[in-house]
Amino acid sequence: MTDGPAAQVTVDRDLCVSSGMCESLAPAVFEIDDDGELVVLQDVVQDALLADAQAAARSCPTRALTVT
Amino acid sequence: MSMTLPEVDTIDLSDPEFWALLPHEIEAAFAALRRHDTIPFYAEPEIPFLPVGPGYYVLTRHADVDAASSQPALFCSGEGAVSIADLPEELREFYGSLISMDDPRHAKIRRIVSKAFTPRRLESLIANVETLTDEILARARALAEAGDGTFDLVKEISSPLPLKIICRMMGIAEQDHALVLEQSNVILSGGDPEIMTDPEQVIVLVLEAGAALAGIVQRLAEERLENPTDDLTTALVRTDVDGESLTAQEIASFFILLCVAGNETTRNAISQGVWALHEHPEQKARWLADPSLTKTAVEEIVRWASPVRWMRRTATQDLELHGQQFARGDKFLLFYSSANRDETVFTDPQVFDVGRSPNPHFGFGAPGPHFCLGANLARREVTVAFQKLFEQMPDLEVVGEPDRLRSSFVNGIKRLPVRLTGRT
Repeated sequence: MTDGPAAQVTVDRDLCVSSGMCESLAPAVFEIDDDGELVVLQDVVQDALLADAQAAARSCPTRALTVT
Repeated sequence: MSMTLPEVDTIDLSDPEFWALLPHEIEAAFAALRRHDTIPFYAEPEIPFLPVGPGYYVLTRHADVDAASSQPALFCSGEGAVSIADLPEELREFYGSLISMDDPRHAKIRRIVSKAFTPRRLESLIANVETLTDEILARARALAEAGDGTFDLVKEISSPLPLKIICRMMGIAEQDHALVLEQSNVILSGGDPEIMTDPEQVIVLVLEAGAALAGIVQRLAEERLENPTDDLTTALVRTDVDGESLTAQEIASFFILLCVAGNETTRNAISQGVWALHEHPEQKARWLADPSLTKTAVEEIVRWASPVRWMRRTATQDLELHGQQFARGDKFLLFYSSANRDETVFTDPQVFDVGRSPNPHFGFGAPGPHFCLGANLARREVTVAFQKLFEQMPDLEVVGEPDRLRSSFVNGIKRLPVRLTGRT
C-alpha cells in the first residue's frame, strides 16, 4: 500500500496567501492553523496522499506549493 | 456552436449601450476580440467629476489574463483594481482595501482575514448556511402560497442568502442587514440607470453608500473592542500587523469589500445558475439524477456566470505581453468572463455542461495573490443553495426573462420571476 514513490512537499512562504485550496483538496497534508498560517502536516507524501498533494499544488492560486 | 462574430472595430466596451446587449451578443463580441491578434485599446468612459484617463487595454484570452494575474510585480493592483478611472483620494479611502493593495502589506492583511475563510473554519459555518437556507426557502414558499405562486428569485432567495451569511460572519445585527444590501447595491450598480437615476450623482451616491457602511462597522468595531466575540470584526480589531493595529478606516474599507464582494457575486451565481438550468433542462435533469455531479456543476455555474467580469491591473514598468509592447502606467482590464469562454482552453465553451472536467475557469479570479478570498465560502453557499432548491422547491419554474444589470463589471440579474407550481 505504501510502496509507491515518495515526494517532498514544500511551501514558498513568500507566495502563500492561506487561501486554503490545498486544505480542501488534501486535508491530511495541509492545514491552515488558527493564526492563518499554512501548516504542512506531512512533508513526505506517498500513494493516495501524493495524488492529493499534487492536485493541491496544481490548484494553488498563488503557485506556492511544490511536490517533488 | 457557431456564432456570427462582429467586426472588431465596431466593438466599444466603453459604450454603456454595449453592456445592454443580450448575453449572446456580448459573448460574440468577446469571441471576436479573442481571435483578433492585437490586444485592443479603448478610450475611458466619462464619469462626472472624474478626470478622463488615458484609456485601457483589454485582455480577453485565458493565457493573457493568466500571465498578467500571476505576475503581480509587473501588473500591480495598487493603482486600482475595481475601477477603470483612477479614483480620487476620498473614494480610495473607502474602496482601497485588500483588492486594490499590493504585497507586502496585502499579504500581511490577507493572512489575518484568511483564517476566517479556511475550509476548517467554514465547516463550522455549514450548519449555519443550511439552517439559513431552510428559513429563506420556507419564507419564499409561504409568500408564494399566500399569493399567486410567483415571486422574484433574486429578492427572496439569491440576495438574502449570501447577505445574511456575510453579515453573521462579521457580527452585523439583523436590523442592519437591509441597509447593507441596499448600499452594496448602489456601490456595485455600475451606473445602471434604475439604481443611478441621475448619472451626475454617481460619485456622490457611491460615497454616501460607503459612508453608511463605514458607519455601521465603526460602531460595531468599537463595541467589539470592549466586548470581543468570535466574529470577524473582533478578529480585525484585535489583530496587529507588525505591531500596528488596523485603523478604523482600514477596518471599514475591508468590511465594505466583504459586503460587496460577499453579496453580489454569490447572489448572481445563484440567479445565473437557476437561469442556466432553466435554459438547459437536460443539464438540470442530469444533475438531479446524479448528485455526485454537484462539485463539477457548481464550478460550471461559476464559469458560466463569471459574476465579476474583470479586474484591473496597471503596468509597473515597460513590458511585453502577447508579443506586444506596453509602457509603465498602462492599464489593463483582465476579462475573466472572456477567458472562461476561451475556445483554446475549454472544449465547447458555449455549452453549459454540469459535468465539465477539467474546468480551469477564472470565475474566482486568475492565479495570483488576489485569488478570491471567499472562494471556499462561495462554493459552499452555491452548493447548499442548489441542494436545498432541488430538495424543497422541486416545483420551482422560471416564468419570465431575467432583468439584467447594465454593468461591465458585474454580470448581474436584478430580477428573475419564478413560480411554485405545487406539482412535483
